[in-house]
Amino acid sequence: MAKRIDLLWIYAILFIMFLYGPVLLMPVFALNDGTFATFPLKGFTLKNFSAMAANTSMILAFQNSLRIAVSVAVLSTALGIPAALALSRFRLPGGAGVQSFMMLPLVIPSIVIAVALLVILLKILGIQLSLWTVASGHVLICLPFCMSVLMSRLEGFDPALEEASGDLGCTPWQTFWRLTFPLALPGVISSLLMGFIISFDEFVISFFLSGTETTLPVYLFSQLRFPNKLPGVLALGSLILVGSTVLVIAAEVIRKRGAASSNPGDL
Amino acid sequence: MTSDTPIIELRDIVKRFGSLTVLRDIDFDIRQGEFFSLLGASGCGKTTLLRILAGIEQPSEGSLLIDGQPMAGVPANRRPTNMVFQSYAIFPHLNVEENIGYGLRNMRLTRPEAQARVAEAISLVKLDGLATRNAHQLSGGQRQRVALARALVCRPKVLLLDEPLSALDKKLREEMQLELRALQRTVGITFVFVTHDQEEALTLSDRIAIMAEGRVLQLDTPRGLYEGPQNRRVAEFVGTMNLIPGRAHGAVLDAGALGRFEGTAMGSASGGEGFLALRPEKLRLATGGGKLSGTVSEAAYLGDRIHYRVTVPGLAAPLAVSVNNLQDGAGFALGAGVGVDWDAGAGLILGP
Repeated sequence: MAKRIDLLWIYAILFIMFLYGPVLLMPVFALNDGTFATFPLKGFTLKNFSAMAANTSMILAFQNSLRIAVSVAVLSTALGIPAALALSRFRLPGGAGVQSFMMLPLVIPSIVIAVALLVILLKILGIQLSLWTVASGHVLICLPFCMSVLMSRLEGFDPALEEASGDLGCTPWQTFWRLTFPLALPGVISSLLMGFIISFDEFVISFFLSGTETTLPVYLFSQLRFPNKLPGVLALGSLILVGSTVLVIAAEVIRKRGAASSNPGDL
Repeated sequence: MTSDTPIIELRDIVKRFGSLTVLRDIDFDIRQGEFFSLLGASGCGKTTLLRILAGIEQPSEGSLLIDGQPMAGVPANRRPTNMVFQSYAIFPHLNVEENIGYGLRNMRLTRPEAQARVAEAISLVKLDGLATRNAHQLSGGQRQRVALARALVCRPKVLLLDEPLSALDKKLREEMQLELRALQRTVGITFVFVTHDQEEALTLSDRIAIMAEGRVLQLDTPRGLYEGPQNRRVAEFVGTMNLIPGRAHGAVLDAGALGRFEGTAMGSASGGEGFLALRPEKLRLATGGGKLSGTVSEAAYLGDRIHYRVTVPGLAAPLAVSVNNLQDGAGFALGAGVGVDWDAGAGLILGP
């Protein structure tokens, strides 16, 4: 018995190292005083971080990414709520088909979506590439994620709650704002965070659909061609790593709190 | 408070879900101020009927009037009814006070008026001191009281209750039964109560509609149902009933080798297969004589009374006999030969 537990421990440690080791090396090299990301480390420095403040094109890309990610999060959540409500509340004719259809962007390679969107935007609609085209592409891939987060939340509560609200004199619209939305709020917040993170990270669609302005992942990729820019990229990566970790932890805490407040004991 | 004025009029209601007909020929009135129960096994359509009254479901055919007003096309939020749901449906994000005041927000009330009505409702259901308690901190009985207060505070013309006591333990359930009855007398509102528990329905109701397979089998007072069941299914559903099979000829049942018995003919029992129905407490046991004879196969001493099972040769099921403890001090031993007798008027002749 003891031997088996030991083996499991070793497996678990190897697993975690494999998952997070490379990621954790990034801040180590970012703080290293040297151009090449190799051992042995040369010395401690913060100059890679301080250099970022002076890098205007990077800051611009960061602002673009932030703006896109916020709009995409809000837009895909706003679009996801009615879709999730319709699919979880009503037995729609062909509801299962509609649902799989809306989940399709999850399984289509993003390069296929990117190329298809590029052709549609440029050749068929004749729209100039801009941050707007990037954002609309992001909404397309975020929507299925936001919808599934919202649906799992909406399916969790007793249908009698909404019936009771109607019975107590609320119109469906009032029921939504007084009952459904407050109860779905943890799901709404998770959906916003999910949309934000996916959009902020996204590379392929941004790469194809961005015009003259660029997003942070695309900017980072363009910098990798120059070896002397690598420490700066590592520093930026470290900051993003910290930011994403904080966001994910916040999302999980909110989700757990929501789950606790809406499962009142039995029934 | 009960008057003969109907508050609810159901006219030839039919409800279908796809190809499945769950309600048919529903046609009766519920009177102003009465405690009315819909009693039946699960799947008999009683909850669907209640949901039609509430406006959550629409009937496929027929019409419904509440307080003289046709309800076709009137949504749940504009009906003079309120419902206590089986799961109570307490809003988990609101506290007791906010739950109870939920429906008042949709009425044109001033803040002090609304607060006064919430406070009144809280004391009516004995939740004093719990106004700011969160929904998830409440016990089953308290949740039930919140659900009741939340519905009553809107002052509906009809209160609809969907098995509100089924989730409570036995002791609490009996306590709540008495309270519910007292509450109904206090507020004077018509209660329509759905239950599968015949004892509960008998205890609480002014009148009961017994339902099976989407139809009303019989609608009567508790006494009327117990003393005068119109058919075998009602007789078996309400209380315990001994049934002796045979051929019914008007007020006489020919039970073959067991003999011919007289009784009161009920419903449409004539010329065909029928039953003589006898309540356990209407039977008497003696060491000999009587209309039937058998042996005691089971005896349960309950203090105030003794329940016997008497096996009669020629009868598939043993007869249940309930004997008042005053009547027979010592009782009968297991295996004792006994005669079973009853008054001529005690038996009912029922159709199949």
